[in-house]
Amino acid sequence: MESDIDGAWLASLVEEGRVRAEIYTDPRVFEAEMARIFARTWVYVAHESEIPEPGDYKTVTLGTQPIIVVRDKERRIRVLFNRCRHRGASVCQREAGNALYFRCAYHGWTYECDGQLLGMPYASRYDPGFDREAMGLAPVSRVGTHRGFIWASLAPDGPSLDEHLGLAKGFIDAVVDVSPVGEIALTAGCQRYGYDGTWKLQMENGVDGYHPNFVHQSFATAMKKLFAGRFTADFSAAFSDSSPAVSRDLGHGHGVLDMRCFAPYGADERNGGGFNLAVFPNLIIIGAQVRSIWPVAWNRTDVVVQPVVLKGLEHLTEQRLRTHELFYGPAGFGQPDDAEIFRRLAQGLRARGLEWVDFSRGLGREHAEEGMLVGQVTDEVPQRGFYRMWRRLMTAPAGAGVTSGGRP
Amino acid sequence: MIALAVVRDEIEALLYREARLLDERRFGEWLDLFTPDAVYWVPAGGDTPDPTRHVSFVYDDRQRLELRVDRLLGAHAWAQDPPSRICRAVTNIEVGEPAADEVDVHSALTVVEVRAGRQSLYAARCRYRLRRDDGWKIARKEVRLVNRDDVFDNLTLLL
Repeated sequence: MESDIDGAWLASLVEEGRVRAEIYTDPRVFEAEMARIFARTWVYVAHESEIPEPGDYKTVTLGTQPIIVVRDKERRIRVLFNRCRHRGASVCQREAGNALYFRCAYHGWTYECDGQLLGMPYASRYDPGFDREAMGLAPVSRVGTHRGFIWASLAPDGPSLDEHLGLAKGFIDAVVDVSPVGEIALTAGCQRYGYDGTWKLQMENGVDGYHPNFVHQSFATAMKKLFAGRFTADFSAAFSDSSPAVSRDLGHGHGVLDMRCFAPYGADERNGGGFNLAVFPNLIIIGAQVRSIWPVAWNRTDVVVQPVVLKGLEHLTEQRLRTHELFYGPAGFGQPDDAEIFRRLAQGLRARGLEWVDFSRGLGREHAEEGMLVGQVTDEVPQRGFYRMWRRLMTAPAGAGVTSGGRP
Repeated sequence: MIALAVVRDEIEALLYREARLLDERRFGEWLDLFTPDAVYWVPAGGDTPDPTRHVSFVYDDRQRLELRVDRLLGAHAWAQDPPSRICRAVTNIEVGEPAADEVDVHSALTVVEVRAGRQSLYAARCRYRLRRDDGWKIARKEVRLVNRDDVFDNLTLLL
Protein backbone atom coordinates (compact mmCIF):
# COMPACT_ATOMS: atom_id res chain seq x y z
CA MET A 1 0.00 0.00 0.00
CA GLU A 2 1.20 3.44 -0.87
CA SER A 3 0.08 4.75 2.54
CA ASP A 4 2.53 2.39 4.27
CA ILE A 5 5.49 3.97 2.55
CA ASP A 6 7.92 5.72 4.78
CA GLY A 7 8.56 9.29 3.69
CA ALA A 8 12.04 9.23 5.17
CA TRP A 9 12.88 6.21 3.04
CA LEU A 10 11.64 8.01 -0.10
CA ALA A 11 13.67 11.07 0.86
CA SER A 12 16.79 8.92 1.20
CA LEU A 13 16.55 7.76 -2.42
CA VAL A 14 17.78 11.02 -3.95
CA GLU A 15 20.89 12.96 -3.07
CA GLU A 16 22.47 15.80 -5.01
CA GLY A 17 24.26 14.15 -7.95
CA ARG A 18 23.13 10.58 -7.32
CA VAL A 19 20.01 8.44 -6.87
CA ARG A 20 19.46 5.02 -5.35
CA ALA A 21 19.00 2.05 -7.67
CA GLU A 22 15.67 1.27 -5.93
CA ILE A 23 14.22 4.22 -7.83
CA TYR A 24 14.34 1.96 -10.88
CA THR A 25 13.76 -1.43 -9.34
CA ASP A 26 11.36 -1.18 -6.40
CA PRO A 27 7.63 -1.56 -7.17
CA ARG A 28 6.82 0.42 -4.00
CA VAL A 29 8.51 3.45 -5.53
CA PHE A 30 6.18 3.21 -8.52
CA GLU A 31 3.11 3.01 -6.28
CA ALA A 32 4.30 6.09 -4.43
CA GLU A 33 4.98 7.92 -7.70
CA MET A 34 1.46 7.29 -8.91
CA ALA A 35 0.03 8.71 -5.68
CA ARG A 36 2.50 11.49 -5.00
CA ILE A 37 3.47 12.65 -8.48
CA PHE A 38 0.89 11.58 -11.06
CA ALA A 39 -2.09 12.13 -8.75
CA ARG A 40 -0.77 15.53 -7.71
CA THR A 41 1.07 17.53 -10.28
CA TRP A 42 0.00 18.62 -13.78
CA VAL A 43 0.13 15.65 -16.16
CA TYR A 44 0.06 16.10 -19.93
CA VAL A 45 -2.95 14.29 -21.40
CA ALA A 46 -3.63 15.47 -24.96
CA HIS A 47 -3.38 18.25 -27.53
CA GLU A 48 -6.40 20.32 -28.55
CA SER A 49 -5.87 19.46 -32.22
CA GLU A 50 -6.68 15.84 -31.40
CA ILE A 51 -10.21 16.79 -30.28
CA PRO A 52 -11.17 19.76 -32.48
CA GLU A 53 -14.95 19.17 -32.69
CA PRO A 54 -17.73 18.67 -30.10
CA GLY A 55 -17.80 15.03 -29.06
CA ASP A 56 -14.22 14.37 -30.16
CA TYR A 57 -12.47 12.36 -27.51
CA LYS A 58 -9.24 10.59 -26.71
CA THR A 59 -8.69 8.01 -23.97
CA VAL A 60 -5.44 8.00 -22.02
CA THR A 61 -4.17 7.14 -18.57
CA LEU A 62 -3.39 9.66 -15.89
CA GLY A 63 -0.76 7.72 -14.02
CA THR A 64 -2.42 4.35 -14.34
CA GLN A 65 -6.00 5.67 -14.11
CA PRO A 66 -8.33 5.54 -17.15
CA ILE A 67 -9.26 8.97 -18.47
CA ILE A 68 -11.34 10.43 -21.29
CA VAL A 69 -10.31 13.81 -22.71
CA VAL A 70 -13.33 15.13 -24.57
CA ARG A 71 -14.63 18.35 -26.09
CA ASP A 72 -18.21 18.89 -24.98
CA LYS A 73 -21.09 20.40 -26.96
CA GLU A 74 -20.10 23.88 -25.75
CA ARG A 75 -16.57 23.14 -27.04
CA ARG A 76 -15.13 23.07 -23.53
CA ILE A 77 -12.44 20.52 -22.76
CA ARG A 78 -13.47 17.96 -20.16
CA VAL A 79 -11.18 15.42 -18.55
CA LEU A 80 -13.28 12.63 -17.02
CA PHE A 81 -12.61 9.29 -15.40
CA ASN A 82 -13.48 6.51 -17.80
CA ARG A 83 -15.48 4.69 -15.16
CA CYS A 84 -19.21 4.17 -14.89
CA ARG A 85 -20.60 5.56 -11.64
CA HIS A 86 -22.78 2.49 -11.22
CA ARG A 87 -20.54 -0.56 -10.98
CA GLY A 88 -17.31 0.78 -12.37
CA ALA A 89 -16.91 -0.50 -15.95
CA SER A 90 -15.15 1.71 -18.45
CA VAL A 91 -17.65 3.51 -20.69
CA CYS A 92 -15.39 4.37 -23.64
CA GLN A 93 -13.43 1.65 -25.41
CA ARG A 94 -11.62 3.34 -28.28
CA GLU A 95 -8.42 5.34 -28.23
CA ALA A 96 -10.03 8.20 -30.10
CA GLY A 97 -13.30 9.01 -31.81
CA ASN A 98 -16.42 11.12 -31.67
CA ALA A 99 -19.33 10.49 -29.32
CA LEU A 100 -21.98 12.83 -27.97
CA TYR A 101 -22.86 10.19 -25.37
CA PHE A 102 -21.01 7.51 -23.45
CA ARG A 103 -23.06 4.44 -22.62
CA CYS A 104 -21.93 1.75 -20.22
CA ALA A 105 -22.49 -1.65 -21.83
CA TYR A 106 -23.12 -3.38 -18.49
CA HIS A 107 -26.50 -1.86 -17.46
CA GLY A 108 -26.94 0.90 -19.98
CA TRP A 109 -26.16 3.96 -17.87
CA THR A 110 -25.70 6.80 -20.32
CA TYR A 111 -23.72 10.00 -19.94
CA GLU A 112 -23.54 13.21 -21.94
CA CYS A 113 -20.10 13.85 -23.36
CA ASP A 114 -19.62 16.54 -20.69
CA GLY A 115 -20.01 13.75 -18.12
CA GLN A 116 -23.57 14.42 -16.89
CA LEU A 117 -25.63 11.32 -16.21
CA LEU A 118 -28.38 11.41 -18.82
CA GLY A 119 -30.20 8.38 -17.51
CA MET A 120 -30.24 4.74 -16.62
CA PRO A 121 -32.66 1.99 -17.70
CA TYR A 122 -35.64 1.20 -15.45
CA ALA A 123 -35.02 4.30 -13.37
CA SER A 124 -38.25 3.72 -11.41
CA ARG A 125 -36.48 1.25 -9.13
CA TYR A 126 -34.15 3.91 -7.75
CA ASP A 127 -35.26 5.75 -4.64
CA PRO A 128 -36.79 9.19 -5.20
CA GLY A 129 -33.82 10.76 -3.46
CA PHE A 130 -31.30 9.23 -5.85
CA ASP A 131 -29.08 12.16 -6.86
CA ARG A 132 -28.45 11.87 -10.57
CA GLU A 133 -26.55 15.11 -10.74
CA ALA A 134 -23.93 13.71 -8.40
CA MET A 135 -23.56 10.57 -10.48
CA GLY A 136 -22.00 11.91 -13.65
CA LEU A 137 -18.67 10.69 -14.95
CA ALA A 138 -16.25 12.11 -12.40
CA PRO A 139 -14.13 14.99 -13.65
CA VAL A 140 -10.50 15.42 -12.66
CA SER A 141 -9.93 18.28 -10.28
CA ARG A 142 -8.30 20.71 -12.67
CA VAL A 143 -7.71 21.11 -16.40
CA GLY A 144 -5.37 23.62 -17.99
CA THR A 145 -4.00 24.40 -21.43
CA HIS A 146 -1.06 26.23 -22.89
CA ARG A 147 -0.75 26.82 -26.65
CA GLY A 148 -3.01 23.84 -27.37
CA PHE A 149 -1.34 21.38 -24.98
CA ILE A 150 -3.74 20.03 -22.34
CA TRP A 151 -2.77 19.10 -18.78
CA ALA A 152 -4.87 17.61 -15.99
CA SER A 153 -4.33 17.53 -12.25
CA LEU A 154 -6.03 15.28 -9.71
CA ALA A 155 -5.17 17.72 -6.92
CA PRO A 156 -7.93 20.24 -6.14
CA ASP A 157 -5.37 22.86 -5.23
CA GLY A 158 -1.72 23.60 -5.62
CA PRO A 159 0.29 25.64 -8.11
CA SER A 160 -1.56 26.72 -11.23
CA LEU A 161 -0.54 25.21 -14.56
CA ASP A 162 1.05 28.54 -15.38
CA GLU A 163 3.20 28.34 -12.26
CA HIS A 164 4.02 24.69 -12.85
CA LEU A 165 5.15 25.24 -16.44
CA GLY A 166 7.18 28.30 -15.50
CA LEU A 167 10.15 28.71 -17.82
CA ALA A 168 9.05 25.71 -19.92
CA LYS A 169 6.36 27.95 -21.43
CA GLY A 170 8.89 29.95 -23.40
CA PHE A 171 10.27 26.80 -24.98
CA ILE A 172 6.80 25.48 -25.80
CA ASP A 173 6.02 28.84 -27.35
CA ALA A 174 9.15 28.63 -29.50
CA VAL A 175 8.02 25.24 -30.83
CA VAL A 176 4.53 26.48 -31.66
CA ASP A 177 5.70 29.78 -33.12
CA VAL A 178 7.66 28.06 -35.89
CA SER A 179 4.20 27.98 -37.46
CA PRO A 180 3.51 31.31 -39.20
CA VAL A 181 0.03 31.30 -37.62
CA GLY A 182 1.33 30.22 -34.21
CA GLU A 183 -0.46 26.91 -34.16
CA ILE A 184 0.55 23.26 -34.41
CA ALA A 185 -1.50 20.10 -34.88
CA LEU A 186 -0.83 16.54 -33.78
CA THR A 187 -2.81 15.08 -36.64
CA ALA A 188 -0.12 13.13 -38.47
CA GLY A 189 -0.64 9.87 -36.61
CA CYS A 190 1.71 8.38 -34.08
CA GLN A 191 4.28 5.73 -33.41
CA ARG A 192 4.05 3.84 -30.13
CA TYR A 193 6.89 2.09 -28.43
CA GLY A 194 7.44 0.61 -25.03
CA TYR A 195 10.14 -0.76 -22.79
CA ASP A 196 10.52 -2.82 -19.66
CA GLY A 197 11.54 -0.10 -17.26
CA THR A 198 10.41 2.93 -15.30
CA TRP A 199 8.97 6.04 -17.01
CA LYS A 200 11.85 8.02 -15.55
CA LEU A 201 14.36 6.43 -17.95
CA GLN A 202 12.68 8.13 -20.89
CA MET A 203 12.46 11.46 -19.07
CA GLU A 204 16.18 11.28 -18.23
CA ASN A 205 17.16 10.21 -21.72
CA GLY A 206 15.13 12.81 -23.66
CA VAL A 207 17.39 15.59 -22.38
CA ASP A 208 20.62 13.61 -22.03
CA GLY A 209 23.35 15.27 -24.09
CA TYR A 210 26.04 12.82 -23.02
CA HIS A 211 24.72 9.71 -24.83
CA PRO A 212 24.20 10.64 -28.51
CA ASN A 213 27.77 10.06 -29.65
CA PHE A 214 27.71 6.58 -28.15
CA VAL A 215 24.17 5.25 -28.34
CA HIS A 216 23.56 6.87 -31.74
CA GLN A 217 26.87 6.22 -33.40
CA SER A 218 25.19 4.08 -36.09
CA PHE A 219 22.70 6.87 -36.76
CA ALA A 220 25.55 9.33 -37.17
CA THR A 221 27.29 6.95 -39.57
CA ALA A 222 24.13 6.64 -41.65
CA MET A 223 23.73 10.42 -41.74
CA LYS A 224 27.32 10.77 -42.86
CA LYS A 225 26.48 8.67 -45.90
CA LEU A 226 23.21 10.51 -46.48
CA PHE A 227 24.60 14.02 -46.12
CA ALA A 228 28.17 13.45 -47.35
CA GLY A 229 29.95 14.07 -44.05
CA ARG A 230 28.63 17.44 -43.01
CA PHE A 231 25.96 16.14 -40.66
CA THR A 232 28.21 13.77 -38.74
CA ALA A 233 30.70 16.47 -37.97
CA ASP A 234 27.86 18.62 -36.68
CA PHE A 235 26.30 15.80 -34.67
CA SER A 236 29.54 14.63 -33.06
CA ALA A 237 30.70 18.13 -32.26
CA ALA A 238 27.31 19.18 -30.90
CA PHE A 239 27.43 16.45 -28.26
CA SER A 240 31.11 16.51 -27.37
CA ASP A 241 32.55 18.00 -24.18
CA SER A 242 33.85 20.97 -26.16
CA SER A 243 30.46 21.80 -27.65
CA PRO A 244 29.12 25.30 -26.99
CA ALA A 245 25.63 23.80 -26.59
CA VAL A 246 24.19 23.83 -23.07
CA SER A 247 21.92 21.85 -20.81
CA ARG A 248 19.38 23.61 -18.61
CA ASP A 249 17.39 22.94 -15.48
CA LEU A 250 14.31 25.15 -15.82
CA GLY A 251 13.03 24.41 -12.33
CA HIS A 252 9.89 22.40 -11.47
CA GLY A 253 11.62 19.31 -12.91
CA HIS A 254 11.68 20.64 -16.48
CA GLY A 255 14.90 20.45 -18.49
CA VAL A 256 16.33 21.44 -21.84
CA LEU A 257 19.19 20.45 -24.12
CA ASP A 258 19.82 23.65 -25.97
CA MET A 259 21.57 23.47 -29.35
CA ARG A 260 20.36 26.87 -30.58
CA CYS A 261 23.92 28.18 -30.59
CA PHE A 262 24.34 26.37 -33.93
CA ALA A 263 21.30 27.88 -35.63
CA PRO A 264 18.41 30.08 -34.56
CA TYR A 265 15.37 28.03 -33.65
CA GLY A 266 12.97 27.50 -36.48
CA ALA A 267 15.52 28.46 -39.11
CA ASP A 268 14.90 25.13 -40.76
CA GLU A 269 11.22 24.45 -40.27
CA ARG A 270 11.49 21.20 -42.19
CA ASN A 271 12.81 19.33 -39.21
CA GLY A 272 12.71 21.72 -36.32
CA GLY A 273 15.62 20.93 -34.06
CA GLY A 274 17.27 23.47 -31.85
CA PHE A 275 16.43 22.05 -28.45
CA ASN A 276 15.02 19.08 -26.56
CA LEU A 277 12.50 20.03 -23.90
CA ALA A 278 11.33 17.74 -21.08
CA VAL A 279 8.27 18.94 -19.17
CA PHE A 280 7.84 17.19 -15.83
CA PRO A 281 6.55 14.54 -15.50
CA ASN A 282 5.54 13.09 -18.88
CA LEU A 283 6.03 15.32 -21.92
CA ILE A 284 9.05 15.67 -24.19
CA ILE A 285 9.26 17.91 -27.24
CA ILE A 286 12.16 17.32 -29.59
CA GLY A 287 12.38 19.26 -32.80
CA ALA A 288 9.38 18.31 -34.88
CA GLN A 289 7.89 15.82 -32.49
CA VAL A 290 5.83 15.58 -29.29
CA ARG A 291 6.49 12.57 -27.12
CA SER A 292 4.23 11.62 -24.24
CA ILE A 293 5.26 9.11 -21.60
CA TRP A 294 2.70 6.79 -20.02
CA PRO A 295 3.71 4.81 -16.94
CA VAL A 296 2.26 1.30 -16.90
CA ALA A 297 4.12 -0.40 -14.04
CA TRP A 298 7.41 -0.11 -12.19
CA ASN A 299 8.99 -2.13 -14.99
CA ARG A 300 6.88 -1.06 -17.96
CA THR A 301 6.39 2.22 -19.85
CA ASP A 302 4.63 3.15 -23.07
CA VAL A 303 5.68 6.12 -25.18
CA VAL A 304 3.64 7.83 -27.90
CA VAL A 305 5.50 9.83 -30.54
CA GLN A 306 3.49 12.32 -32.58
CA PRO A 307 5.10 14.38 -35.34
CA VAL A 308 4.19 18.05 -35.28
CA VAL A 309 2.24 19.49 -38.19
CA LEU A 310 2.93 23.21 -38.56
CA LYS A 311 -0.25 25.09 -39.42
CA GLY A 312 0.38 27.25 -42.46
CA LEU A 313 3.31 25.09 -43.52
CA GLU A 314 1.43 21.87 -44.24
CA HIS A 315 3.25 21.52 -47.54
CA LEU A 316 6.34 20.62 -45.49
CA THR A 317 4.60 17.82 -43.61
CA GLU A 318 5.60 14.98 -45.91
CA GLN A 319 9.26 15.96 -45.84
CA ARG A 320 9.16 16.46 -42.07
CA LEU A 321 7.63 12.99 -41.65
CA ARG A 322 10.41 11.37 -43.65
CA THR A 323 13.04 13.24 -41.62
CA HIS A 324 11.31 12.18 -38.40
CA GLU A 325 11.18 8.52 -39.41
CA LEU A 326 14.92 8.44 -39.95
CA PHE A 327 15.60 8.57 -36.23
CA TYR A 328 12.34 7.97 -34.38
CA GLY A 329 9.84 5.23 -33.75
CA PRO A 330 10.49 1.55 -32.97
CA ALA A 331 11.91 0.99 -36.46
CA GLY A 332 13.95 4.20 -36.67
CA PHE A 333 17.73 4.50 -36.90
CA GLY A 334 18.07 6.04 -33.43
CA GLN A 335 15.26 5.62 -30.96
CA PRO A 336 15.30 1.77 -30.84
CA ASP A 337 18.88 1.97 -29.63
CA ASP A 338 17.74 4.14 -26.72
CA ALA A 339 15.08 1.54 -25.88
CA GLU A 340 17.73 -1.17 -26.03
CA ILE A 341 19.79 0.79 -23.53
CA PHE A 342 16.73 0.96 -21.25
CA ARG A 343 16.57 -2.86 -21.47
CA ARG A 344 20.23 -3.05 -20.53
CA LEU A 345 19.66 -0.69 -17.61
CA ALA A 346 16.90 -2.96 -16.32
CA GLN A 347 19.29 -5.87 -16.60
CA GLY A 348 22.29 -4.16 -15.03
CA LEU A 349 20.39 -2.56 -12.18
CA ARG A 350 19.51 -5.99 -10.83
CA ALA A 351 23.04 -6.04 -9.43
CA ARG A 352 22.91 -5.67 -5.66
CA GLY A 353 25.40 -4.04 -3.37
CA LEU A 354 25.92 -1.14 -5.78
CA GLU A 355 23.30 1.18 -4.43
CA TRP A 356 23.90 4.42 -6.26
CA VAL A 357 23.39 5.62 -9.81
CA ASP A 358 25.55 8.63 -10.65
CA PHE A 359 24.29 11.96 -11.97
CA SER A 360 27.18 14.14 -10.87
CA ARG A 361 28.50 15.14 -14.29
CA GLY A 362 29.18 18.89 -14.27
CA LEU A 363 27.75 19.26 -10.78
CA GLY A 364 30.36 21.69 -9.51
CA ARG A 365 30.32 23.83 -12.63
CA GLU A 366 26.65 24.56 -13.33
CA HIS A 367 25.72 28.20 -12.94
CA ALA A 368 22.53 30.17 -12.39
CA GLU A 369 21.27 32.19 -15.33
CA GLU A 370 17.88 33.85 -15.73
CA GLY A 371 16.24 31.60 -13.16
CA MET A 372 17.76 28.43 -14.60
CA LEU A 373 20.75 26.27 -13.81
CA VAL A 374 22.95 25.95 -16.87
CA GLY A 375 25.76 23.54 -17.72
CA GLN A 376 27.60 22.18 -20.71
CA VAL A 377 25.45 20.05 -23.05
CA THR A 378 26.95 16.78 -21.82
CA ASP A 379 26.36 17.68 -18.16
CA GLU A 380 23.58 16.02 -16.18
CA VAL A 381 21.97 19.32 -15.25
CA PRO A 382 18.42 18.49 -16.47
CA GLN A 383 18.47 15.10 -14.73
CA ARG A 384 19.45 16.67 -11.42
CA GLY A 385 16.61 19.14 -11.80
CA PHE A 386 14.21 16.31 -12.58
CA TYR A 387 15.21 14.42 -9.42
CA ARG A 388 15.01 17.52 -7.25
CA MET A 389 11.38 17.91 -8.29
CA TRP A 390 10.81 14.17 -7.92
CA ARG A 391 12.11 14.26 -4.36
CA ARG A 392 10.08 17.36 -3.49
CA LEU A 393 6.81 15.77 -4.61
CA MET A 394 7.60 12.32 -3.23
CA THR A 395 8.40 13.59 0.22
CA ALA A 396 5.47 15.99 0.62
CA PRO A 397 2.98 14.60 3.15
CA ALA A 398 0.43 12.20 1.65
CA GLY A 399 -2.89 13.88 1.06
CA ALA A 400 -1.32 17.31 0.72
CA GLY A 401 -1.91 19.34 -2.38
CA VAL A 402 0.79 19.81 -4.97
CA THR A 403 3.79 21.30 -3.29
CA SER A 404 5.30 24.38 -4.74
CA GLY A 405 7.82 23.31 -7.30
CA GLY A 406 10.14 26.24 -6.94
CA ARG A 407 13.14 27.08 -9.00
CA PRO A 408 16.58 25.62 -8.43
CA MET B 1 1.72 -13.63 -73.05
CA ILE B 2 3.07 -15.76 -70.24
CA ALA B 3 0.69 -18.23 -68.69
CA LEU B 4 -0.59 -17.02 -65.34
CA ALA B 5 0.42 -20.31 -63.72
CA VAL B 6 4.02 -19.70 -64.75
CA VAL B 7 3.91 -16.16 -63.38
CA ARG B 8 2.51 -17.50 -60.15
CA ASP B 9 5.30 -20.06 -59.82
CA GLU B 10 7.92 -17.39 -60.44
CA ILE B 11 6.40 -15.05 -57.90
CA GLU B 12 6.02 -17.68 -55.21
CA ALA B 13 9.66 -18.56 -55.72
CA LEU B 14 10.62 -14.89 -55.36
CA LEU B 15 8.63 -14.41 -52.16
CA TYR B 16 9.97 -17.60 -50.57
CA ARG B 17 13.49 -16.67 -51.54
CA GLU B 18 12.97 -13.20 -50.05
CA ALA B 19 11.77 -14.78 -46.80
CA ARG B 20 14.80 -17.04 -46.58
CA LEU B 21 17.26 -14.24 -47.33
CA LEU B 22 15.76 -12.17 -44.50
CA ASP B 23 15.70 -15.08 -42.06
CA GLU B 24 19.35 -15.81 -42.86
CA ARG B 25 20.33 -12.14 -42.49
CA ARG B 26 21.52 -12.00 -46.10
CA PHE B 27 20.39 -8.39 -46.31
CA GLY B 28 22.65 -7.45 -49.18
CA GLU B 29 21.16 -10.13 -51.40
CA TRP B 30 17.70 -9.09 -50.20
CA LEU B 31 18.39 -5.54 -51.39
CA ASP B 32 19.20 -6.93 -54.82
CA LEU B 33 15.58 -8.08 -55.10
CA PHE B 34 14.41 -4.45 -55.21
CA THR B 35 14.21 -2.09 -58.19
CA PRO B 36 16.24 1.15 -58.02
CA ASP B 37 13.01 3.13 -57.51
CA ALA B 38 11.60 0.75 -54.93
CA VAL B 39 9.60 1.75 -51.85
CA TYR B 40 9.52 -0.35 -48.68
CA TRP B 41 6.68 0.77 -46.45
CA VAL B 42 5.60 -0.31 -42.96
CA PRO B 43 2.68 1.95 -42.00
CA ALA B 44 1.92 2.84 -38.38
CA GLY B 45 -1.63 3.03 -37.02
CA GLY B 46 -4.82 3.91 -38.82
CA ASP B 47 -7.06 2.03 -41.21
CA THR B 48 -6.18 4.17 -44.21
CA PRO B 49 -2.55 5.14 -43.80
CA ASP B 50 -1.29 7.84 -46.14
CA PRO B 51 2.49 8.31 -46.10
CA THR B 52 2.19 11.91 -47.28
CA ARG B 53 0.10 12.85 -44.23
CA HIS B 54 0.72 10.19 -41.58
CA VAL B 55 3.86 9.02 -39.88
CA SER B 56 5.01 5.50 -40.74
CA PHE B 57 7.32 3.08 -38.98
CA VAL B 58 9.27 2.77 -42.21
CA TYR B 59 8.90 4.57 -45.52
CA ASP B 60 12.16 3.86 -47.30
CA ASP B 61 13.24 4.66 -50.79
CA ARG B 62 16.09 2.60 -52.16
CA GLN B 63 18.80 4.85 -50.70
CA ARG B 64 17.31 4.80 -47.21
CA LEU B 65 16.77 1.05 -47.41
CA GLU B 66 20.47 0.63 -48.19
CA LEU B 67 21.34 2.83 -45.21
CA ARG B 68 19.02 0.76 -43.04
CA VAL B 69 20.73 -2.44 -44.08
CA ASP B 70 24.18 -0.88 -43.58
CA ARG B 71 23.19 0.14 -40.07
CA LEU B 72 21.77 -3.24 -39.15
CA LEU B 73 24.89 -5.03 -40.37
CA GLY B 74 27.22 -2.56 -38.62
CA ALA B 75 28.67 -2.92 -35.14
CA HIS B 76 26.76 -0.16 -33.36
CA ALA B 77 23.07 -0.87 -33.95
CA TRP B 78 22.46 -1.78 -30.33
CA ALA B 79 18.83 -2.71 -30.93
CA GLN B 80 20.16 -5.58 -33.06
CA ASP B 81 22.98 -6.53 -30.72
CA PRO B 82 22.40 -9.41 -30.18
CA PRO B 83 20.63 -9.81 -33.54
CA SER B 84 17.11 -11.16 -33.86
CA ARG B 85 16.71 -14.77 -34.85
CA ILE B 86 13.75 -15.08 -37.14
CA CYS B 87 11.56 -17.61 -38.90
CA ARG B 88 8.79 -16.32 -41.12
CA ALA B 89 5.98 -17.89 -43.09
CA VAL B 90 4.70 -16.31 -46.29
CA THR B 91 1.25 -17.61 -47.17
CA ASN B 92 -2.09 -16.77 -48.83
CA ILE B 93 -0.33 -15.60 -51.97
CA GLU B 94 -2.72 -14.06 -54.46
CA VAL B 95 -1.32 -12.96 -57.79
CA GLY B 96 -3.21 -10.22 -59.59
CA GLU B 97 -3.64 -9.84 -63.33
CA PRO B 98 -0.29 -8.84 -64.84
CA ALA B 99 -0.48 -5.46 -66.57
CA ALA B 100 2.36 -4.47 -68.91
CA ASP B 101 5.46 -5.60 -67.00
CA GLU B 102 3.97 -5.26 -63.52
CA VAL B 103 1.81 -7.35 -61.25
CA ASP B 104 0.29 -6.77 -57.81
CA VAL B 105 0.54 -9.53 -55.24
CA HIS B 106 -1.17 -9.96 -51.87
CA SER B 107 0.18 -12.24 -49.18
CA ALA B 108 0.03 -12.92 -45.47
CA LEU B 109 3.15 -12.83 -43.32
CA THR B 110 3.77 -14.42 -39.94
CA VAL B 111 7.08 -13.74 -38.23
CA VAL B 112 8.46 -15.30 -35.08
CA GLU B 113 11.37 -13.35 -33.67
CA VAL B 114 13.61 -14.39 -30.80
CA ARG B 115 15.84 -11.75 -29.28
CA ALA B 116 17.35 -11.12 -25.89
CA GLY B 117 15.47 -13.97 -24.27
CA ARG B 118 12.07 -13.03 -25.60
CA GLN B 119 9.94 -14.46 -28.40
CA SER B 120 7.72 -12.08 -30.36
CA LEU B 121 5.04 -12.81 -32.91
CA TYR B 122 4.07 -10.53 -35.77
CA ALA B 123 1.33 -10.92 -38.35
CA ALA B 124 0.85 -8.72 -41.38
CA ARG B 125 -0.89 -8.39 -44.68
CA CYS B 126 1.61 -7.63 -47.44
CA ARG B 127 1.08 -5.98 -50.78
CA TYR B 128 3.76 -6.17 -53.40
CA ARG B 129 4.13 -4.49 -56.73
CA LEU B 130 6.52 -6.59 -58.77
CA ARG B 131 8.14 -5.59 -62.02
CA ARG B 132 9.57 -7.92 -64.62
CA ASP B 133 13.10 -6.85 -65.43
CA ASP B 134 15.30 -9.83 -66.16
CA GLY B 135 13.22 -11.75 -63.65
CA TRP B 136 10.79 -10.27 -61.11
CA LYS B 137 11.92 -7.43 -58.87
CA ILE B 138 10.14 -5.74 -55.98
CA ALA B 139 9.09 -2.21 -56.95
CA ARG B 140 6.98 -1.70 -53.86
CA LYS B 141 6.47 -3.64 -50.67
CA GLU B 142 3.91 -2.64 -48.09
CA VAL B 143 3.68 -4.49 -44.77
CA ARG B 144 0.48 -3.79 -42.84
CA LEU B 145 1.04 -5.19 -39.38
CA VAL B 146 -2.19 -6.28 -37.72
CA ASN B 147 -1.19 -4.44 -34.55
CA ARG B 148 0.33 -1.39 -36.22
CA ASP B 149 -1.53 0.89 -33.80
CA ASP B 150 -0.02 -0.93 -30.82
CA VAL B 151 3.14 -0.54 -28.78
CA PHE B 152 6.34 -2.11 -30.11
CA ASP B 153 9.46 -2.61 -28.05
CA ASN B 154 11.74 -3.07 -31.02
CA LEU B 155 10.73 -3.11 -34.66
CA THR B 156 14.21 -3.00 -36.14
CA LEU B 157 13.81 -6.40 -37.78
CA LEU B 158 13.21 -6.31 -41.53
CA LEU B 159 9.68 -7.51 -42.26
